[in-house]
Amino acid sequence: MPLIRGMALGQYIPADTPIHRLDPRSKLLITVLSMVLIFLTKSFPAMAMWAALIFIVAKVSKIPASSLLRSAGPILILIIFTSLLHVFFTGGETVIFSIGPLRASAEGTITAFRTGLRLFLLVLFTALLTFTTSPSELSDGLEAALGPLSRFGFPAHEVAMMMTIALRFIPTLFEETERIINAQVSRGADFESGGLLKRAKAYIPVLIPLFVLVFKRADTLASAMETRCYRGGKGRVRMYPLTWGSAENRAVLCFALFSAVVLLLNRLA
Amino acid sequence: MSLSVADLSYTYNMGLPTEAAALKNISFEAEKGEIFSIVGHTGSGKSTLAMHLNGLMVLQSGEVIVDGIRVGGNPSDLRRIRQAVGLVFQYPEQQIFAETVREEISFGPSNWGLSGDALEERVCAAMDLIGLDRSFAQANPFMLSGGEKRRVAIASVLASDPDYLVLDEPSAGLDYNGLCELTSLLRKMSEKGKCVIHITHDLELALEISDRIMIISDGAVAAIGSPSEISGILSDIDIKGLILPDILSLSYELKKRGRIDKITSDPSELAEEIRTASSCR
Amino acid sequence: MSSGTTLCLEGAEFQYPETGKKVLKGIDLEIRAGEWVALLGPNGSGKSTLLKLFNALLIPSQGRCFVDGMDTKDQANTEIIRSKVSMVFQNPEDQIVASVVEEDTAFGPENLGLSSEEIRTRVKEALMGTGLWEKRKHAVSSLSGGQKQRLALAGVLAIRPGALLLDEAMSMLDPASRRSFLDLVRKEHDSGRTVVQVTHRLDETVLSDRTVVVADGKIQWQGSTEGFLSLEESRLREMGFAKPPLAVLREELVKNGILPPSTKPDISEIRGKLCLSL
Repeated sequence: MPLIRGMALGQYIPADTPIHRLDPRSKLLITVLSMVLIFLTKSFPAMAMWAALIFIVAKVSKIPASSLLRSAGPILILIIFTSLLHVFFTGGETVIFSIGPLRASAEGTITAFRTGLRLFLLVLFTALLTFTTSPSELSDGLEAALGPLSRFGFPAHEVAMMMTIALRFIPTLFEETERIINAQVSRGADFESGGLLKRAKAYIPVLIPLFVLVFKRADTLASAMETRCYRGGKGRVRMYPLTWGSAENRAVLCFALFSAVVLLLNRLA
Repeated sequence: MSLSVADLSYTYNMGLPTEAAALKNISFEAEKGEIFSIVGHTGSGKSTLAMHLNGLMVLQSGEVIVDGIRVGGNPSDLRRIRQAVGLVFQYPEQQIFAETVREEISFGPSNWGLSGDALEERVCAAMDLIGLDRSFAQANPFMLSGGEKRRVAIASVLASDPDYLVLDEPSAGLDYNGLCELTSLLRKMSEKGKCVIHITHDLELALEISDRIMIISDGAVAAIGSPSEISGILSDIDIKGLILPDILSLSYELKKRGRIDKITSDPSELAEEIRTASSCR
Repeated sequence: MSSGTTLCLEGAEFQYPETGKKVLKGIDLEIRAGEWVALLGPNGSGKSTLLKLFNALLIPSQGRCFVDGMDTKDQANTEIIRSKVSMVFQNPEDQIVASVVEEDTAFGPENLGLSSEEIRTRVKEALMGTGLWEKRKHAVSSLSGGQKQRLALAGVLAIRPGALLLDEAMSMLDPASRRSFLDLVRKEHDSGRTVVQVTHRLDETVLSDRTVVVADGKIQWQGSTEGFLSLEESRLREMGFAKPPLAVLREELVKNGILPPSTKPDISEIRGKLCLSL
């Protein structure tokens, strides 16, 4: 249904930009590193640098600012909540105001602001990855990144395949769940009244058909994959093989230089 | 007493870039005792419309009135509407959850507060209506054949004894015998004074079984009338996504070329027309 | 021109190991390369099971099944059999693996271990052939039901199989999508592929060469599709089928000498011939 068409590819916004074209491994690497680095960032000038970087990457990859900001929406509450905790519980000399036993300190407020901002930057940066990388590129990248572990028996291909399939079926299952709920509501099912136990029980007529559907689907899907010559990861060649070329080297290098500057600014402050 | 829809519009994702109008100013009235078919291509808004008829969707604009009760009023009204309007979804066998056929069929009426003999009576009546032998009552519905499952699922809606029966694409995947059983059920229901609202993409089937047909295209009403009225006007209007039944489209074409006089969707009748035409020349 | 694949069953029986239910009770059937066979039967007759024998999804519990002379029982053949015989299932949702159109189309060729360049060539060919090339970068979930089923077909054509098995592949489609899907099947058949089509709608089979009716695990009737469609209406009803209106029309017009007996009950053929003769 059109209702969920928007979320069809997660947040991925297809476009042909240098950032989109980058090997997903380079983007994964940079994202993971940036997560660590953002957590280490304490000074405001360094945070401004991060904001600038996010702005530039978004600009180059043609991600509308509104979409980017909206991606932080769901965890805004978390950000506000942690910030508030910091305001009241960091403790410090200068008390700005107090509500009952709760005292807000100036130090606390600054820490709160810093933590909130850090979380916000972190979310935006990771969002850039999902905006510019399709789900299957992501799982390809993951498979390649985990590849070395498969020598120790880690099922890298299987994990990536599971991710691909899970992402593929999210919209479909969403639609089907909606339909089953609607069908049961039409037959008088009531999910809203009664205690917790009664409400939980009311979901049985939804869950059982859903499980039946999922098992049947898994069965046919397995046949369909076999039909299409699937034999596991061995011998599989990708249509767009991952290529680590000069663009990726340059991207990683740029990021390394940027990190150095950020760390320096952090030290200075 | 009827089910009436007035000026109903609905837009998904209103205000978002993915905004999509599903229904545009739909109005119609379906009476008890008739088979009213709503025909449209995939994505024409048929299913969205179906969900409006028993209050599953929150109204955006327009009205749906069932036996004088307005959808979107207070919650107790909604319960009455859901009891009055039974909705059979596409592939209804996918909603089966109970361990026995009896339990499955009694789910609706027991939710509406029936129990004991009254409930038992409803279950039996629904099974009789759909032609399920009473011996099935204790069977596990998941072990039944596809066709039997579909019948159990439809019976589970019939058991609420709705005055309005809305079926979304009920013929999907049925073989010829299944189709015959279905059409005879729909006829039986309308003869019992129920209003059958049959939603389908199959114009050929709709022409065969309906008292009245409404054609929707891209969320708007394109035509409404009796099967013969509909057959008469379809050649003049171009309806997106609608494929005319072979015989009908052939007879339009021959009529347009002045070869035959009468438009028909019956193959023997068309053969007769063609024979007369060719012997005249 | 691709070369079609021959499919052959010799006394094939099949019994589901879990339930012990015997679904196929001795089937002999040979399908020639490039032939289009309609496999009919009421729900539960065993026709889908039969179809699954041809690409080694199921192995006969008795008797044998050959694909281009290779026994499906021999596991060494499975890989090559799967690349020769491909199947489209009823519900497109059950067979699409990836979230993006071109990535799903590539799934089969990727499994074959072809070069990336060859994979791209085949994906392009399959998507062009099914009219989905413009949508190659689109999300699968943004496609309509008909488009999804065409994608399922594209995913199978990219393997370039010699035989195409259709397991009620059109039963969830609306008339417009069904027509365009059927056109695609006709094109594949014209290019030399073997087509085996399971259905219970006779109007989908008018273009096939031969009809095989399965009932209760056995072949109940077989012969030319033309012959099948001109059986008495009551005989067809007995077997659980309705004669398509076009077949009724064609028959009466042939009887009256208005149409030549070679006419197929196909809308474009009848329309063409009628406009000439009237």
